[in-house]
Amino acid sequence: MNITREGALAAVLGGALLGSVVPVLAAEWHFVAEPAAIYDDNVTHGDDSSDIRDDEIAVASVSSGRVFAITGADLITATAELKSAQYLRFGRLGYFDLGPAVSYRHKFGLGVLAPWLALSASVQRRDFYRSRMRDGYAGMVQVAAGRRLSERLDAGLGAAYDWRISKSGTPLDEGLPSTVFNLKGLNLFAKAAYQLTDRVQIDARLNVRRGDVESGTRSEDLAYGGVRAIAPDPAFDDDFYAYRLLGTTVATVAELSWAAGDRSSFSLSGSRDRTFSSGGSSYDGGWLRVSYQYRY
Amino acid sequence: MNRHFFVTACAVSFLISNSAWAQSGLIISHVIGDNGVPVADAVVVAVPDGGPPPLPKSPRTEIMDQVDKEFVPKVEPILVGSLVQFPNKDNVRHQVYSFSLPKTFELPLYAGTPSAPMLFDKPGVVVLGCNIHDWMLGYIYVSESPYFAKTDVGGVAEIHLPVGAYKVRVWHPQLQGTGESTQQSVQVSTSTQLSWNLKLKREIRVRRAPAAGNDSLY
Repeated sequence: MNITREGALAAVLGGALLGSVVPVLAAEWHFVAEPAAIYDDNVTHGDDSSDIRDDEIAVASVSSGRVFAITGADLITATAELKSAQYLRFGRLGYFDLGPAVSYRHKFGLGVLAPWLALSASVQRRDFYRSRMRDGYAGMVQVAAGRRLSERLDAGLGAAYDWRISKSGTPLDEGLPSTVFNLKGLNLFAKAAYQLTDRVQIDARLNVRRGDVESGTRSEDLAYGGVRAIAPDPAFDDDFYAYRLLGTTVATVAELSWAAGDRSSFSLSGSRDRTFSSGGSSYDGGWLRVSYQYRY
Repeated sequence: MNRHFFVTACAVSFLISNSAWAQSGLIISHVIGDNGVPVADAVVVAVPDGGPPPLPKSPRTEIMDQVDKEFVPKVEPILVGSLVQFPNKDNVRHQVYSFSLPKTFELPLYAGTPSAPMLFDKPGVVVLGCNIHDWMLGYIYVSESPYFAKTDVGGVAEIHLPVGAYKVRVWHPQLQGTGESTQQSVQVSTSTQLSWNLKLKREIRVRRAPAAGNDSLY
């Protein structure tokens, strides 16, 4: 693994700083651990069937920090988050994330049915095992609003801006940049959660993202216009290329979650997404995820 | 000496023949759900046919704790006119509130024990919540009669009361319908057995357990 010392240090210091914000306020600890097993049917984001690769991924994440109740209506959560992913077939894609996150939530009134507004931001230092051009930083800022419509139904919508800054790959002759994984995009989403019983909950989310997307192919002679960056991508194969386009991704996510107790739950979730690029390329993807969450 | 003995004997005789102690009765209530399982946390209330007795001159002070971000006990029956303290035994702050008509209130964000207990002067059910921890849910049942008890895990509650005629009813947070629909007219003797078979709704409250974060891919 190629973790840069300064990146890891910055992430840890950032998390520690956030975790120590306003120490005079009564704060509660926040700790969430989540191991997950994922099957992704298109890790290459390939368009042509010959370019599509699937894989199984093991992910473990830990988030720890403090929750500050500023008033009865205002909460600030400051955490440091650590995540690691291991790919079964494409081991070079394995990565390690570390970084701070902060969120603010305001409730407009009293009670579980009061509407809320949430702002959140996160930054991660991301280092891949053996894919140097993917190394870099990723972040997101998000605004969301919602309310519980009944005892069972909770709904919300929001917008998020995500970005990723990565290193350059090996340049090709076309004169195009090789910073394939410099990505940014704007997301609009709507989500809902419905409690079937006191233990079982279903969640659904629709996300539309407009921005940079990356795809992979075995052919250097791309037929698609609109390619904004390209570089060889040995993470998949020696004759594989990764390229960046401008595109729109529509993703749907559904989740079934069973509470094993007050602090833990098991979840099964799945996603289907379709990406349309301005150059004419489009690809489908999807994943299935089994996970366990523990919250202290 | 003889005179003193005579007065004492008369007083004891009077007490034995007229006191509530001499005429004490007992209601043993058995509450089960429609699945046959004993129902805990059901409140059994017995109201004398002649109306509830006068309230005590000095109000009782009851406790509704907050422990591990839950209300403890979950159901607390109290006599109307009682005072309730809401001590926060967590090391985080809570904001306790209720929208219920018998007692609408809000305790601003606090730690420890609020200085003044709160008066519950109207009978009925008071549903409690915390604005910080949405899953917290508690109930104070304000009884107009001093003769009440809460069922244990075996679904059994015992009420010690004077013998006589009563209307006895049961309430539970998941009860379908009103407590009045469970009412029985009973002539209470020294030991009276009563039973209820309650139809209960599923409990739905904001889930405390986490759900997977589906905001990002993986």
